[in-house]
Amino acid sequence: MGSTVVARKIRKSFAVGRRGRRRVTEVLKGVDLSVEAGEMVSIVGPSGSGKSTLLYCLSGLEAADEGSIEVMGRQVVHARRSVLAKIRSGHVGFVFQSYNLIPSLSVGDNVSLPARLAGRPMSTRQTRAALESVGLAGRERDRPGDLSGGEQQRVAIARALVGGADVVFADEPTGALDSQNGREVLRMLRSIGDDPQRSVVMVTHDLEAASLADRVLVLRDGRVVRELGRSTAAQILEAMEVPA
Amino acid sequence: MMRLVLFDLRDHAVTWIGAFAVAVTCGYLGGWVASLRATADLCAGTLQRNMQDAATMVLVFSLVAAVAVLVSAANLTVVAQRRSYALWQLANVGPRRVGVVVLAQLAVVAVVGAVVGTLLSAATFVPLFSLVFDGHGRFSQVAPQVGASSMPAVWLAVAGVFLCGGLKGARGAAKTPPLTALREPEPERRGMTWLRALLFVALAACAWWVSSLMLDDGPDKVLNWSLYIPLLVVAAMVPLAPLAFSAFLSAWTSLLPQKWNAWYLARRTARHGLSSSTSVETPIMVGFGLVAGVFSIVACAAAYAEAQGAADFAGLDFTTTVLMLGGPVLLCAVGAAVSVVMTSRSRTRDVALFVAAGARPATLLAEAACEACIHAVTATLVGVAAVVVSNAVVAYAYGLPLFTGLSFAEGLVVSLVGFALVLVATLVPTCTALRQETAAVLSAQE
Repeated sequence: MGSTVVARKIRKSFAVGRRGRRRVTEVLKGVDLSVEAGEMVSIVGPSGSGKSTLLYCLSGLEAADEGSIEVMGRQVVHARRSVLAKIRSGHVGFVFQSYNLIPSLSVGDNVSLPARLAGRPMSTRQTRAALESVGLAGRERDRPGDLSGGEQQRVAIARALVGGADVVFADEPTGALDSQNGREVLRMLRSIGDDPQRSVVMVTHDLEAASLADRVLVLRDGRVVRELGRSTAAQILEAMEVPA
Repeated sequence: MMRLVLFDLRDHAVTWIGAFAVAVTCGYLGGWVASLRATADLCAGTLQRNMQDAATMVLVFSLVAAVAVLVSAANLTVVAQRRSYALWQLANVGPRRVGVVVLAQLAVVAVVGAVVGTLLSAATFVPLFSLVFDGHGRFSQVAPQVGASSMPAVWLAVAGVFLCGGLKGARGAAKTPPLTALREPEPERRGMTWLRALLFVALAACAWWVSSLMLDDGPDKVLNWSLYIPLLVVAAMVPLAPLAFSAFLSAWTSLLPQKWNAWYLARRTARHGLSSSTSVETPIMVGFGLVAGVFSIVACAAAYAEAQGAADFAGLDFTTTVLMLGGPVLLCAVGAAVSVVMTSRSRTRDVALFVAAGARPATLLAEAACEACIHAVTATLVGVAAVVVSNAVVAYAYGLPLFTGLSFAEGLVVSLVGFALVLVATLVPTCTALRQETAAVLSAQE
């Protein structure tokens, strides 16, 4: 088993405020982490700790200012946009809190898009099978707007998987779901993490969700302040409350 | 309430600028009609009648395009403002009051736009009059007169059409629960409504009536009526737009292979855009249909004259062409540009979603270009259908083969201009969206 994501000393700053009163806030202050294939990693921390920024930097959706990030051995920091596109289409899948399905595409087209962009178009049968695997058989012609939140999130998971993603980045995947749909989505993410070829990096506020991961990173003020193995929600909460 | 109306207009000036541009254009053309009428009042006899005919020609030929463009601009603006109206409701502004404020905003923008347009026409009427009527010996002695007294009627007419166009949107803004509007920024499309069907039937019946009058008058008097046929056929296609454009788009784009990712995405994006609004295609279709329709009918008349042995058929001169087609072409150009810019608001987010799915920048730029091409070609094809129908009716009245005189070249110039405008309006937001941080776009709620 090798590392799917390796990050070293990542730094990221944002300029906030209006012109004239602009100040720079350092959101990530030299974060190191690595994620192994067959592993599910949760990132937890208080609001504003830099969790989502870290996830976006790791996936190349946000450009890190400094440091090194390798996804499946390919450098992400300062990579050209076409290189990033290739890394994303070949190795990365996303699951967002607000689902982020493409409204102009049908459910089936949404699922098959990453594979198509990676140069591996799927047959209708494959698309149907992918939807069937997330319990949405026969919904391929529907529009994203026709589905409930839980169903849209399941489509997002199917989409993340069929592109052949080696790493799935999930940003608050249960944040907009009721508890039953949330549990179902987490079960799916966990089963991806159990695949020895794949890994999941999940940012969450939900400590129950975080407790499903093999490893939990606690982020505070742009730094990883704790690293836990498989832990209960109570243990994670305790780790978050103890000062670094 | 007036403070709410004005402050919101100021805060969302970018959203309202498109509707304002359309109102200015309509005001400008209305100002020309008013000034031509005022000039006619100073003339006598045949000259007066000819000048009144010129004013009627500008009015009648611009009317279809003006109504189509005004209505879609008003609707698009209200839809773009849905989020803002939802936030008002959350701040305890009652639904009824929201509807009134929306209509008040439409009225303010329409009247201010029309005033600016009429002022522009007053400033340019005298110098442009001599340019347009240059070469028309009988008009060269006429002293152009700005029709200032009729301008308020123009403002009222523009505001009236604008309010009628935005009525549906205003009712929707007031009726939609705020949370629904915030969750789903795009309202559900209603496609072919009863009102559209009714309008289509009325316009088709009108076209039928004019055709029967033309047939009753016999071939020698066809020219008197024939120029109204493309106008009515094109006008009848406007309410039919949700059906006609979707059918044509699906049909012709399916003929090309879907293997190229840019084409595959463009086809779906264009189809989705069409399902929300036909405002991009409608101005191009109207512009193409009127120009190609009029030129085809003149060619048809020339063919009839030639068959009758008349060698001196003059066709359309510069002045008639400008008076007949200048207004609609100007309106269609402004309408197409405004519609695309306004409907491209969601492009930034769509581009970010495609990027997250692994699309390369080159693919997305090619997708934008293909989408512009799909919009322009679809509009042109529907326009071609309208031209073929109107030309067939006129050719039949002349007793000529049905396809006699069909001429698309002049109309294609309008389509090319439309394509160029749509291309700019799809490429520029795509380029801008590609420069933005994908994460920032995806994590932003609005």
